[in-house]
Amino acid sequence: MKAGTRRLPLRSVVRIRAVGGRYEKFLSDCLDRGIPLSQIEPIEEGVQLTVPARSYRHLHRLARRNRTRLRIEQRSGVWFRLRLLWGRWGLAVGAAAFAALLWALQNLIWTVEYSGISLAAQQTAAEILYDAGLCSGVWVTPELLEKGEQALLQWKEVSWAALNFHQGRLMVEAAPALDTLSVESNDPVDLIAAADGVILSVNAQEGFVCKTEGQTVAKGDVLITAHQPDRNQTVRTAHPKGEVIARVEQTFTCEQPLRYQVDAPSGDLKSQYTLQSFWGAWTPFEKDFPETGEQKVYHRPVSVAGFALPATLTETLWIDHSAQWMELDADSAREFARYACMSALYTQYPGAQIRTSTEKETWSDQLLSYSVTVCFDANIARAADVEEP
Amino acid sequence: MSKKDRSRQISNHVPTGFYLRPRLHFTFPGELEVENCKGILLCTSQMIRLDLGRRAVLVRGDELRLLSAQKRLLRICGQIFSIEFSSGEEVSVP
Repeated sequence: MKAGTRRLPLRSVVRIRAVGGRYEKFLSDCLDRGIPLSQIEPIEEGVQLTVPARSYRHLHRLARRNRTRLRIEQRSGVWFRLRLLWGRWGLAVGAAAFAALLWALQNLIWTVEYSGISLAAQQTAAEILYDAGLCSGVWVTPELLEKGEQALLQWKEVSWAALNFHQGRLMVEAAPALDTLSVESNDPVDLIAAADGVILSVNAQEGFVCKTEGQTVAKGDVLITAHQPDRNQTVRTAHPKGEVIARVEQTFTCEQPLRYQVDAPSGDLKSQYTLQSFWGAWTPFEKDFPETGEQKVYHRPVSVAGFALPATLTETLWIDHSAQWMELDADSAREFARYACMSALYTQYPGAQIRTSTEKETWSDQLLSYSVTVCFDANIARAADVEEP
Repeated sequence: MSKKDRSRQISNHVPTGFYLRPRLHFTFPGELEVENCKGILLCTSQMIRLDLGRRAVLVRGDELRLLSAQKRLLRICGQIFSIEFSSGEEVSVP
């Protein structure tokens, strides 16, 4: 019985116990009537048998005639599963109405999927599409898709973008923008020293070298020149290019107050939620936000237990800012000042290698004057027409 | 000779009611097929007695059961020890 059910799970059968009376005659009568029986197993004073669901209603008359008691042991099959729904028309109507509703609303955006761009870029893309009018719950038209595509193409972080909409799913395909090539200027400009120091190495790729290793240079001295007369006093021109590594000693200073005022969040926070879909927008609790303070707006697709719904939840967050006094202890102030000095060093000389450093600090009335003298190796060659950072 | 005449000639060689006679097919390891069975006279796990019209057949064995029972066709399986034939009136079951 069980094996048969496994082979044919769609077949609906009834397992019956026929006991007492002339049960053999009952079996013979079933055969005469053409009722197919199977798995007939003799038991004490009767048999157990399996009969198709369509035939078991005819057994009672035959059993009564032979004084045999019938008892249903088990019902199995699709028919008996579906019979549970018999009379419960609300379930069927509800399922049909749900299917019809899904079919009618398949032109709405239920979910948005992105491919080809990073997670951070997806957030920006979602905001761009929202500004173009494309978000969950919007009724899609070809014009709207075209508008969204144009908005994405104007975004500089993607090289191309395409929007495909199919049965409630908006597929956003995009490729990140390639790095733009920077073309070097070919003007003949001298490379000069950006700081005083002693030259350690010169690697000139183009131009005419004016200083060599071991020479001391002052700030503004020409290191690699663009013009040089030849033996006939004819000026030759080149585009200087190269690297001049020098040992430089420079002092960076910073003043760090122990108490200073900043504009920081006060802790006062308000939020407002708006549900948007094809019927419009609904805000359950409307709030008036003050003019001052920071305001942030987040748009999130709505989903229930992982199932996307055609709606967008807009959260408007208002954060109050106020002037607050920041108090620093001595160690923190020192770290802040050191960080500022090192930041200035590496901004001015990228890739500098520090050899020695001497720190000096003086305190006067809640103010730290910090200076660090750094001896470092760095490339000091700069184009003469480029301003120092 | 047409195809119709040929089939008629073949059917003339088959006696009347040939396909309505009771038949027994036994296959090892122990399945008995009974065609044109008129009824079930006894059904226990040790013996099954079938009515074949003028004759009756008694199947003795252990754990006997009917795999399927359709009109004119029965399949018996189990450990069959013996098959006895008798006229329907004379056979007595111990």
